[in-house]
Amino acid sequence: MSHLITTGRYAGLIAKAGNRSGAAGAVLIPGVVITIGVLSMLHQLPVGRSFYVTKIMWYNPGVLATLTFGTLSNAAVPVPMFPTQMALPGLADGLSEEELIGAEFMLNSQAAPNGWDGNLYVAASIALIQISVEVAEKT
Amino acid sequence: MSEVANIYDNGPISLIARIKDNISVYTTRKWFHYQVVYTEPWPRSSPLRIEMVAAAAVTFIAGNGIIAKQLVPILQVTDGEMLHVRFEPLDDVEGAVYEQAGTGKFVSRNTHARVDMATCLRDPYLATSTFFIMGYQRDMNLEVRNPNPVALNQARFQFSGFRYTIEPITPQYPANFTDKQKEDVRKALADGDKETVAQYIGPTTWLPAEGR
Repeated sequence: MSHLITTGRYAGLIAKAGNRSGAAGAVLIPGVVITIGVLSMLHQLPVGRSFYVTKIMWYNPGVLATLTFGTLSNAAVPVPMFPTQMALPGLADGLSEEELIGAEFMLNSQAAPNGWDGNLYVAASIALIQISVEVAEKT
Repeated sequence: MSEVANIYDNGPISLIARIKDNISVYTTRKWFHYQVVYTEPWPRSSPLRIEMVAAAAVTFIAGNGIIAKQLVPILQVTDGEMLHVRFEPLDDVEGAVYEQAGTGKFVSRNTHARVDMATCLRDPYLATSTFFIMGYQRDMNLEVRNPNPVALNQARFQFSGFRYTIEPITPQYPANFTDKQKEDVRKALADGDKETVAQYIGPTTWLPAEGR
């Protein structure tokens, strides 16, 4: 489920599955998140920590869709962090560590528009896309 | 008077005593003296792995939660057996060791240290996770803590080390010893008196067993 990263710029961090699962990421157990057509949470920022996204994988059982990964402003407005992805019908795809900008997701508690919650979300154009992520995070 | 390596040497795990060496083990508040009759390695492998969520008969360990201390059956031994073990979690959880269920291992007055996934970063051979288990009914218990704010459905721990077979040493008393003198020697041996042990047991490796 998780392993210690011993080399590279994430050395010392632990690679683990995103800590949310289920429809919209409502379940507080790591696993696969099912989109609901609007925002779904993929990884909840633990208190006092930060994380990097190292893998995103998805399967789209529906029609042509878009996926926008990012965080949420403190005014509850999605903040895209990665280029919007096309999710082709009936196909799986993903983003690897090399394709994901090594941005550090962290909390900024300032009032909107200057702050954001630091969680990893996806804004999907349709429901039922299955998404799994891997993050690098301290214990 | 240790004959072999220091038992917590910061290096790959190695025997703390060879076959026919003596060991003096501190357990149940007394020193017991044994001769090693057999040793064998316990290689790091799947049979020495335990999944504590399943062992506790639950489906997950809650976010920031605890699996109360559980017996680890793969580490149960019989009388005359001793295990010399190092361990680490394979999932992002922390393990706290109890020996004889009620006694914490790696404890001080106010603290109970744990082994986590990052322990091997500063201690690559896991020397600081070394502990011993001696004999029947002196089993270790493992408490698991989840430092993550969400539930985890897996908490695996990997053990490895050495297994020893040991025999108690019976001191040879001079023929003219009275019962009182024999009793005095037995008490001095149980107290771990260095000179008495040197005289009646010989060179030995001093060893802590359970947490005390």
